[in-house]
Amino acid sequence: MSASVEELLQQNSTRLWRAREPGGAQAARAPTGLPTGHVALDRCLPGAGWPRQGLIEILSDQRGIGELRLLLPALAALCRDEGAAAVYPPPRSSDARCQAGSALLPQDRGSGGWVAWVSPPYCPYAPALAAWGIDVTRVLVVQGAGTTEWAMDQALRSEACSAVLGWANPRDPQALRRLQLAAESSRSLAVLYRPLQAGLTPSPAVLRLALLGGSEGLQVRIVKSRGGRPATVNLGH
Amino acid sequence: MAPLARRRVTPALHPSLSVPVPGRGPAAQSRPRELWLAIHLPALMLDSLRDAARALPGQPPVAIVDLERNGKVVRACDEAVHAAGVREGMSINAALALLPGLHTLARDARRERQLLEAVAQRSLRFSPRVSLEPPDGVLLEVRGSLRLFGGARQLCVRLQQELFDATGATTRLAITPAPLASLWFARCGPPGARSAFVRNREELAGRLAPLPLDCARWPERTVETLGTMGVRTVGDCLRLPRDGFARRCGKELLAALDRATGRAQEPRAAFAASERFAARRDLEPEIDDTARLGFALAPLLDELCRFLRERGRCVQAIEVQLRHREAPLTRVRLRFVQPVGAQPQHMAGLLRERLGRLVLPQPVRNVRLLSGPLIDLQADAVELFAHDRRESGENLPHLVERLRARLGNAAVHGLECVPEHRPEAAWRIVEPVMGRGRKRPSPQPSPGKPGEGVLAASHATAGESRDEGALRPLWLLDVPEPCDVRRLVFEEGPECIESGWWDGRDVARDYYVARGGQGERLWVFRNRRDAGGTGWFLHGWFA
Repeated sequence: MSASVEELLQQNSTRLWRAREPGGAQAARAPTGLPTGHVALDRCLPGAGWPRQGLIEILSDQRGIGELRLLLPALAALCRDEGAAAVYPPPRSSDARCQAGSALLPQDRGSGGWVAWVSPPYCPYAPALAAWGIDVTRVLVVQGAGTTEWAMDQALRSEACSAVLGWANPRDPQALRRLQLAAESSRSLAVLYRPLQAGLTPSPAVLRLALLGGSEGLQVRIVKSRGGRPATVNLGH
Repeated sequence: MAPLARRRVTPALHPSLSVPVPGRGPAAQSRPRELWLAIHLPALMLDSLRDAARALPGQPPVAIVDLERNGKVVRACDEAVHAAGVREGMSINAALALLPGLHTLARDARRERQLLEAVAQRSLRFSPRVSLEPPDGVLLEVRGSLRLFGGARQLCVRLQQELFDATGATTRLAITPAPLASLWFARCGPPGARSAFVRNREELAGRLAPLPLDCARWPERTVETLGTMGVRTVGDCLRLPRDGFARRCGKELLAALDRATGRAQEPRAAFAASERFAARRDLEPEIDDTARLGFALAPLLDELCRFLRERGRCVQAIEVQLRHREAPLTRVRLRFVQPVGAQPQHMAGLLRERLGRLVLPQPVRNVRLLSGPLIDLQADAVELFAHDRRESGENLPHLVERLRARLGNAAVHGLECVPEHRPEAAWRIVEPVMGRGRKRPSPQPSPGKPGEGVLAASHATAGESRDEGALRPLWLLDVPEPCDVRRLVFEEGPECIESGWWDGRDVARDYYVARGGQGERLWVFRNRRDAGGTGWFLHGWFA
C-alpha cells in the first residue's frame, strides 16, 4: 500500500508541493518553470524558472536598477520560440545552467503570442526591446491607469498574450485575488510590478521578488515563493 | 402575352419609318435579350414630402415651392390645389392670391433622392439588375422576371402596389427592350393609363413615334427650335435626315434617338443597395442606469444579428442612440477591430463595457441601434485545436476591442522601430498588427544580435565593441528632464547624436551612460550647442 502511495507521489511530482524538498532538486527532476536566463536565480526558484501559472510580483521602488532586465531574457525566449519551431521533446539538460528558452514545454510551442505592457511608467523603448531580442511587432501597450488590474485580467483571460506585465498597486485584496486566479487559469506569464512597500502586506501571488539596487548590482530577494524558500540572489550588473 | 397597352399608331407613320435609315442593321432579333422596365415617379416632389404634409395641423392644401431666378416658384401641387387654378411655374405670390389657405413646403432634394433609392431598393425584389435614373426614374431589367411573376401585367401591378405600400410613391411603368424608350414611355403616359409594353425591338420606332418630345427631356431651346420646324413628336424626329438632325441638334440627341429605338446599346450602371440596419425601442418606464440599458438593448442586438445572419454579412461599426426627455441625443459608437457577424454576445459584452463608463445626463426614453455599412462575411478556416488559436493571434482583436471599449482607442497600441538617429524618433506608435500575416516588414533587421541595426546608422564614438543593445535604455522619457550629474559615475560615452536638421527638431547631443548611487543606470546627455555645456538632461533608464 505504501508503495503505491510512493508511486503516486512520483507520478504527480510536478503538481505536488512538498515543503521539505529543496527547489533545486525538484527543478532538476522536472524543470517546470520558464528559465529566467539568470542562472543564480533559476537555482533558487522551484521549477528552475518563472512559474508558468500564477501571479509573479516584482516589488521595486527604484528605476534603472534592472527591473526589466530581470524579465527580458524570458520574454525574448518566448518570442524566439515563436520564430523557430520548438523542438519537442525539449532537450533535457541535467545541468541546471540551462540557457533560457531551451527548456520550453510543449504548451509553449507557438505561444509566442503578444506581450502586453499594461500601464507602464514610461513607454517601453522599441529599439532597446528589439536589441534584447523581443519582437517589437508583438508588443501591445495598454495605457489604463486606474484600471490596470482589469486590463491585465482581460489580457490574461483572452489567452492572446504569452506574457502580461502590469504596473499597479492594488490596495484591494480582492483585486489581487482575482488577478491571481486569472493568472492561475491562464497560460500566460503574469507579472505585476508593485512598490516595495506592498511587500509588507500579504498577497496571493505565487512568487514575490523584492529588488534592491546597489553598488554590487541588482539584489533579488525572494519574499515569497510557493514551493520554494526565501533567498537572496545577487545578479550583478 | 397580350401587350399591356397598345398605342394605336397612325398607319401613315409606318411607311416613312420603314424607309431605310443609315446605320440600321438587318432585321433586329425578334426576342431581345433584355427587357427594361422603367419606373417613373411623376409626383416625386410631393411624395417625398408627404410625411411632412401629413404632419401639418388641419391638413391644409399644400404646394411645393423652390427658389428660382425670379423668386419662389410653385414646382408641384396636389390635385385640390391644381383645381383651384394653381399651376407649376407660378410664383408663390400668385398661388397664394388664388388660394389664401395654401401651405407651402420647400423642396428637399435630399429626400427626393432618398425616396428614389427606397424605390430602387424595393425594386430589387423584382429583379437583381436595377439602375437609377435621377432625378425621378428607376430602371429594372425584367426579362428573366416575367415568368416568375406571371407576365408583364402581373409584374407591373404587383410592383406598383408594393412600391406604393412601402414608400407611398405613385409610379408609372413601361416595359420595352431599350432603357431609354422605357423611360420615355413611362414619362409621357397619361395618369392612370395602363403601363406601356413593347416586346420586340422592331416595334419600338413605331410605338415611340407618337410620343411628344417633352418626354425626352431635351434642352428647352432645341425642343422649341424643332417645334418651329413642325417637329413635335419622336416620330417627326425619326423622319428627319440623320446628318441634318445631328447638325442642328447635336450628336448627343441623335445618339439618344438611336438608343431609344434600340439601334445602339445603352449600358446601365447597377444600383447597389446600401443596406443598413436600424431599429428602435421605446423604454417604458424610462431607464436611468446603464446596466439595465444593456438588457434593454439585448433584443435589438438579437434583431441585428438575425439581420446579419440572413444576409451573410457583417458590420465593422454600430451606433447606439439614446434619446432623453430634454437633453440632446447621446450617441455611443462602437468600432470593431475586425468585422463582426452574428455574434450577439460579443457585441453585448463590448457594449456593456462602453455603457459602463457612460454618464447619462437624463433617463433614457428610447434607444436606437444603427449598423454601419454592411461588409461581406469573409469565410475563414476555423482552427481545429484551441491550442493554435493563440498562435494565430485570433484572440487579440477581441482583447484589443474590449480594452478599447473601456479605455478609448488611443490607450491601446503597438510599437514599431524606425531607422532614425534621434532616440525619440527611432520608434513610433502603431496599430497592433492583427491576424495571421502578422510579420510586418520591419525596418529593423531581425532582432537576433543585440544592437544590430539600432546603432548601425548612428555614428557611435564609443562602445562599439560592447553589447551595443545595452546602450539604449528600456525606458525612454517622453521629454528629457534636467538632471544633476554631479553624483553620477560615467560609464560609457560620449555617443554623439547630431541629426534631424530637416524637420526643425534637430538635436546635437552627447549621450553618456551613467550610474547612480543606488546602482541605477541612466542615460544622460548634454547639448553640444549649449555653449556653457552645463545643462544635463536625463533621457532614459536602463531598467
